[in-house]
Amino acid sequence: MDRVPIGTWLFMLIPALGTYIAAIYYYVNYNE
Amino acid sequence: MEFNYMIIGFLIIYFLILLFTGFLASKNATSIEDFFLGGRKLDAIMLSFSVSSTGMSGWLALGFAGYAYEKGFQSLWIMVPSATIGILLCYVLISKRIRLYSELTGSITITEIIKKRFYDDNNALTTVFSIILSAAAIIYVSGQLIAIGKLLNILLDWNYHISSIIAAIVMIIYTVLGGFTAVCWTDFIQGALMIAGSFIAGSLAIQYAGGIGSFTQKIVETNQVFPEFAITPFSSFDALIMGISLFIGDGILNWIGQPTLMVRYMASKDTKSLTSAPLITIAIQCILFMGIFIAAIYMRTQFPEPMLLPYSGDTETVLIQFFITMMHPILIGIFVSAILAAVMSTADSLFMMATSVLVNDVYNYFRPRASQKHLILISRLVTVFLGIIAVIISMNKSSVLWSSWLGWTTLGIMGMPVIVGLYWIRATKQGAISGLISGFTVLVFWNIFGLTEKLNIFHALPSCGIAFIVTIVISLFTSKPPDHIAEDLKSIDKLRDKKRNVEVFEVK
Repeated sequence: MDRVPIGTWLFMLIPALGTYIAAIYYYVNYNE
Repeated sequence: MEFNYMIIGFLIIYFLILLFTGFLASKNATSIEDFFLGGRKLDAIMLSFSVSSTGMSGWLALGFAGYAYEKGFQSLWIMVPSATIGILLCYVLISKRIRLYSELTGSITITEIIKKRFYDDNNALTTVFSIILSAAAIIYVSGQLIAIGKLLNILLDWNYHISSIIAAIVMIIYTVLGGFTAVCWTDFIQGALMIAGSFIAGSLAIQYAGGIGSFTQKIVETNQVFPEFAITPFSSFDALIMGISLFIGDGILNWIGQPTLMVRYMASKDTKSLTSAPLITIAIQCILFMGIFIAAIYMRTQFPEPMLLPYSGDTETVLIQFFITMMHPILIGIFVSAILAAVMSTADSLFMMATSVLVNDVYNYFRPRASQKHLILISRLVTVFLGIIAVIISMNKSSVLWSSWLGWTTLGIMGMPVIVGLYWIRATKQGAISGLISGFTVLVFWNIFGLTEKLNIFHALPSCGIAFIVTIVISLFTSKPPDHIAEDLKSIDKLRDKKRNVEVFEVK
């Protein structure tokens, strides 16, 4: 391989963003 | 050497701050609940720092850094869930429930919760739990002492054994002085240091590499010469299997099952802080992991083989060597304090945990009329005793990564029956005992026969998985728990539904 595959970056980004959005959802919905 | 004096100066100041914090906190520890739960006063920020500091340890600074150096992006299977999904699940699934249950039943330790949830009248479950927990804490702390020994050995050229002993003495003194409040305050200081150290390390590594574009290019070049240094977590089928077992076993099950973290949720000020804490904790975890990961990967691109490393071929010391090679002595002092912070904060928490189990649940069972003052005294003596055993084990200079993982997974197993019990009315005492013993047995055999390497499956997945499943299966085959257990669990659900954002119980 001549560069770091895009899947590697997505493997980091998607869980990080997904989890943070879920954490915000949790915070908003349980602190009404 | 001037370099050494500056670093030693830093370390002395750092240790003095820790001891002073322990001393201040000790003035406030007047009851056993203060000593173990800090009077339930942790707000979201304190809680987040405490959870991160406790979870990360020397495992991150030495063990994980070495793993990232050797395996490259394969280490994402550990980093991604431990920084994100695992943490969120801890809070969403466990924290509120255990906080409410602990207050409802007046429990201040995890074993008390177990005792009440599993109606452990004859102390059988508590005894099994206490023994395994104390063993886990000792193994884990010894892993931390190995980390400090390696750190001071390479940095100051001190004797490895003496370094470990000095670290243990400092750790024991301030844990003994202040109990949980001291541990949480020092967790806060240590967490802040770790974040600063990790952030600066990652930023400097990218800068030294000549920017992100140049850095990724170097990573690819290293991979072309050394294919075991992966540039993707999906490099082979074997890597994928190992990765998935690490993701679920270490990244999720081990995190949600941690009794040390459960104690922190129980010490939170109110349930509201448990909903805001995930946001802060995830941010902290991401910074910590990314900084260490980037620095370790950078070291691999610069020194692609362990024998090329400037100070030692021990890959667990890559981060320390990064600091020594790249930085000014003052910065090194800060970073070393950060690594020590990571090591000490986890070790002291585990000391507290094991102490609380042995004193509150075993000693107090045999001497129920002991006064609060007497119990605190005994707690302090037990901490000293555990520290001595951990020091003795650490004299054998082994891997920080695997010592910590062994202790951490043992702790993870302990949480499985607790989780089942908090969610499922039908869970029984016999189920919990069987779950604990079978999970621990699988872990021991998995390591004795080296099945992690042979089957390519990380030990946490089978051992925590078995503990979880056996708890459920045996519960189904044994008689139902008493009615008041079901009532307790139902009342938690009602409280959660009705008073989501209101502080449910009065803070003491």
